[in-house]
Amino acid sequence: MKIFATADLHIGMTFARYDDKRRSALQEARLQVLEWMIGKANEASANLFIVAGDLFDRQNCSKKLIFRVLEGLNRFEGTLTVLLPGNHDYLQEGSEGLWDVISREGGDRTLVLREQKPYDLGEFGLDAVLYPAPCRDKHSPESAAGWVAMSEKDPARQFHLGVAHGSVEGISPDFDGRYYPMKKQDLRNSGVGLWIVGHTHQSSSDGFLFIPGTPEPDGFDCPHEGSALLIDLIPSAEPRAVGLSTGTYRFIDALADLEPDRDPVKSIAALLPSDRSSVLLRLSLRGCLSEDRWEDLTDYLKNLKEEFFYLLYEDEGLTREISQKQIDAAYPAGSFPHRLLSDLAAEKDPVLLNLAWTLIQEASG
Amino acid sequence: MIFRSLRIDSFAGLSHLELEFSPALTILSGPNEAGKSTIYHALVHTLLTSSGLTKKQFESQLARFLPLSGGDTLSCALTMSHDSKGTYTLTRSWGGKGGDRLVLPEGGEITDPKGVEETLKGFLPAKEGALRSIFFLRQNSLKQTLSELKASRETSDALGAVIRKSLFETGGLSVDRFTRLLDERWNACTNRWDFFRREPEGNRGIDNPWKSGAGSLVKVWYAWQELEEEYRRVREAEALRADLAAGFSAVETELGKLKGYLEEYKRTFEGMKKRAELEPRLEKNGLLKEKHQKALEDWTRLETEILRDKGEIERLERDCLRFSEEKQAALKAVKDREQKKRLEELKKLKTLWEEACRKPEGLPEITSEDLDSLRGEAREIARLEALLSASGVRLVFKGKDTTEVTVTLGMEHSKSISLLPGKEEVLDARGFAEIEARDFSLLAGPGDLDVAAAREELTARTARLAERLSALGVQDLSGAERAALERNALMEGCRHARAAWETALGGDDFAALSAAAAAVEEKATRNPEAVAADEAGAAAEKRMAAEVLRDREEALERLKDTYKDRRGVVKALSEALVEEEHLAGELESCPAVPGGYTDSAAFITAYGDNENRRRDLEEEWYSLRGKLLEVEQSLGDRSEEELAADCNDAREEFLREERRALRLKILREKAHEILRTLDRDTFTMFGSACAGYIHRLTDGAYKEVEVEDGYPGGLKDKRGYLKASFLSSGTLDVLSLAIRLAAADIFLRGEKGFLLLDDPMVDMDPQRRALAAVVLEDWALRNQVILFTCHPEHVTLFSDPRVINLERLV
Repeated sequence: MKIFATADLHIGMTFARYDDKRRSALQEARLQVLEWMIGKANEASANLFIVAGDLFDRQNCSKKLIFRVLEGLNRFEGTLTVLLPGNHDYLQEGSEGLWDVISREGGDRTLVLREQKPYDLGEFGLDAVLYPAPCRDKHSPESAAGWVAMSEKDPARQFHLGVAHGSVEGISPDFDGRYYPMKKQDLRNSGVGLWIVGHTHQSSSDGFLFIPGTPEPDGFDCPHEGSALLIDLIPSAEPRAVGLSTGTYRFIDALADLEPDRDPVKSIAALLPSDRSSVLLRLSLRGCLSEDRWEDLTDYLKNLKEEFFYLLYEDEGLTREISQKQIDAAYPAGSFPHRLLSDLAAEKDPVLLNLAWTLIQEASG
Repeated sequence: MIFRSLRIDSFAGLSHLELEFSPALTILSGPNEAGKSTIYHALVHTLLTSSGLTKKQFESQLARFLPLSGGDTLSCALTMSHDSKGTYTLTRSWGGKGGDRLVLPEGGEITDPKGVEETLKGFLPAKEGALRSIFFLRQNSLKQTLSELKASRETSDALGAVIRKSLFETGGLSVDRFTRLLDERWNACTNRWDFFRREPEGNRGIDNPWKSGAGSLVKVWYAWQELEEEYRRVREAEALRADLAAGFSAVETELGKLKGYLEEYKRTFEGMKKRAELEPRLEKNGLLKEKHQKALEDWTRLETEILRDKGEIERLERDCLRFSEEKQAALKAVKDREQKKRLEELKKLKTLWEEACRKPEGLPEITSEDLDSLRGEAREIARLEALLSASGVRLVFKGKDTTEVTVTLGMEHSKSISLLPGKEEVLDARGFAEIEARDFSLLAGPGDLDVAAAREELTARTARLAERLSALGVQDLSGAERAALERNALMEGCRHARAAWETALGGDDFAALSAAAAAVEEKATRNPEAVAADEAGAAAEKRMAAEVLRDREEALERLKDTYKDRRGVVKALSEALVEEEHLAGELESCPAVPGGYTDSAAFITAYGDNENRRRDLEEEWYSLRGKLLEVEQSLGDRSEEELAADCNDAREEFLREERRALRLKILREKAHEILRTLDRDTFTMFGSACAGYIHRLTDGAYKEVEVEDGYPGGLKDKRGYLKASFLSSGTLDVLSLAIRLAAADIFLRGEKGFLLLDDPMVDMDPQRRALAAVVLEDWALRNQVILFTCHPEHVTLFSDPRVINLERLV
């Protein structure tokens, strides 16, 4: 039996901090990656397409968006699409929520794991039982998977699979313990053959615990290229997983420590990927440059902006080298610019000196 | 910029006049009324007065220059050239057919008055105010140069600005541009920002934001705060939603259980309701049945008991009579015994009386008179004894021989004593002393008492008393008194005994009493009180029996009232039994009371409570559902996590902007501090330039110009400082000319410019005039000077001027 496992698509995330064009592209990328993964699952003849939580970023997504997601999921040619409510798209109480729409409109090959109970997939022709840990709220200090250890396992079934969403001790940061925290040992003692766990955006697998990661990174705290897992279940053998690189956009947070006697362009270029059109780059520049190098860097950065999908550079910590000799050469002694720049140079505040220098240059221009 | 030519089409008294100016020195010469002032005004107005005047402005500025020959339009054309920009021709018309037209160097033209003014500003050395103050000099206005300079803020500011520019603009930098740029950056960054409070000015947060004029710092702060506010709101909404969801879930769970219970026990509830209706009826019928059963039992019992009660009452009546008779007999027997006992008592009293009367019989009968007589005698004896003992007598014996004597000392008894020879014997007596010796007798006593008579009387009386006492049978007076007392006491006892007997007899006849007692026959009887108690007990018993009988008869009457007769009771009982059987059958068909409930009522109460609870929970369910929907709708598009990340970015951006603002603040303070220092030196340069001209214009008489408050305020020579107000008219003209030239130099900043002077040398002495001509001609080598004069001799002071003789021309 083959399982295509993913999680944390966060469809509906707004990316409000970006401009319209980028925002729209980043939003669209999450839908496209779903379609891409369905295509891959079909290619691999996967039996199950499992989303281990946070398919959506929030509860109140538009129906239009939900239908588009369902349309994508319905392209899965395997036996069953299995969806677990995560802590972003948790099960809503008291109103017709996301999962009610999906349950109603998803068709008979879409299974929403709403309850803490074994789901025997025998009726779908699969020799497997799913043990879900659905989220019923945004946060919880308790794991939703605790019930699985107490549940009787049908020995007649070949595969017993846990599906959960939450932090895993030692893998995902959860300092306040409010994301359904789970312990590896508890999962191991739960009596199932493997766990597919969502919430952690970085993929990992150890033959028992399979974390697919997010297929489309959504921020600078998520520097990988997006991932999913294709898991092969073989009777009486340890499950095997193949990792897939899935994402369109990459978020790269780069810090360049520049030195006066080294070419800043080369230093920066060494940090950057060659394929840049789909990269969101946050480039922090530090250090001190000579005037010539500074101009080289300025030109380089102008061009760089065009190359990347998004570029944000912080150069607050970067200064150009301005010596008293340079000041003396540029302005007659006693003149205003000479006095101002000399005072600032004497105060050893390179950032302020740079600001003054830049303004004087600008005013002279 | 210099003037190339001026064409006057119509302006005051001039028309169709064209003047060409030298690029160096041009002198327009002519007598008064030759048209110098008209040309001067025509030139100045053409250069500076737009055709777009209001009627009022036209009236005040140009109406006086309307053509003398008629017409309502003034018109002039001025051709100017600029070293780098080329030649411009400005034609202006004012009044009826007003309009501006500026022909540009490349051939184009501007007719829009504003466009014309803007273009002119591009090559004029100063603004209008400074031009009028510095570059155009009216006749006799040289002396006002200093005051005009001080009065014209625009000119002085412009001059200051120009001087600063020349001072500060070094290395290609314009300080003004720099400070403007710095101010722009500062304002653009920090406008409406309160550095001290680290928030927008006026405490205007996102609920009341600055809508205009806010700097970037305020904007990023608002952006950050709006995100924070949204983040807080979403977090609170999420928390509220979680609480509501938990509450909703609990309600839903309880409601589900409750609905299950209510559904499961619905039929039981209906059965319990029927049971609840039947059970009281059965209970009531049971009570009725019991009542009829009891009535039947009571009827029989009462009839039996009434008969028995009546027999008992008859028996008790007999007992009462018997006890009454016995009581009478017992009372009589008691009375007889009491009479007998009294008689015995009377007898005893009679005996006591008789015995008491016998007791005084042996005692002497001493009366009270006897006693009084005896006491009188005794008192007399006592008096005599006292008399005989009243004084002391001492006898002193001193015998010569032994002598035996009997001595009676007073009332004492006589005694014998022996008087021894040589021995003195002292005898003391009271009253008297009598000595009987063998040879003599001696009676010694007081001289006033007849001791012998007294003694004799005493003896007689004592004897008589003894005799009488003896006759009475007593020893002495006290014995007499005791005997009298004893006899009197016994006689009193006798009287008392008699009185007691008489009292006890009470007037009865003792003999009759004795006879009656002897006639009584003794009979054995019970204590009358015991008999009376038995009698009372029997009476009470009878009363009680009568009451019981009455109650029973009444009870029987009541039964008769209810049932009429015994058959009525039987019929009612029969009916109750039939109903009981019917109700029991009905109950049998009802479900049993579920376990845990004492009866159907307890179950119905519990079921009803659960039904009410279900209704309450349903209401709560709907309420919570509504609130949940409301909260969910308020959550917005961004998740808490996305907002948190956005908040963090916004905060970082704010902190960066704040750091930038602080740097701008420091830079601005530092720049201003340096500029303040430089400003103090600004007019020093002006003063130096003036001093240069003064030196030349006065041939070294004055070498320094004193700068006061930034302006040349006087001259300094070897004698000291002379304020402008103390200078001679000619020297003041020289100073004023120097100021104009120095200021013009500063304004022109090396570019070629012009100076229009209307008779500047008229008050100067010939030497100063010659020096002024040299300086002006020298200035004209670099610039253009157009000089108007009505003094032909002034023309001769210049070496190579272009002279326009207005007398011939106009």
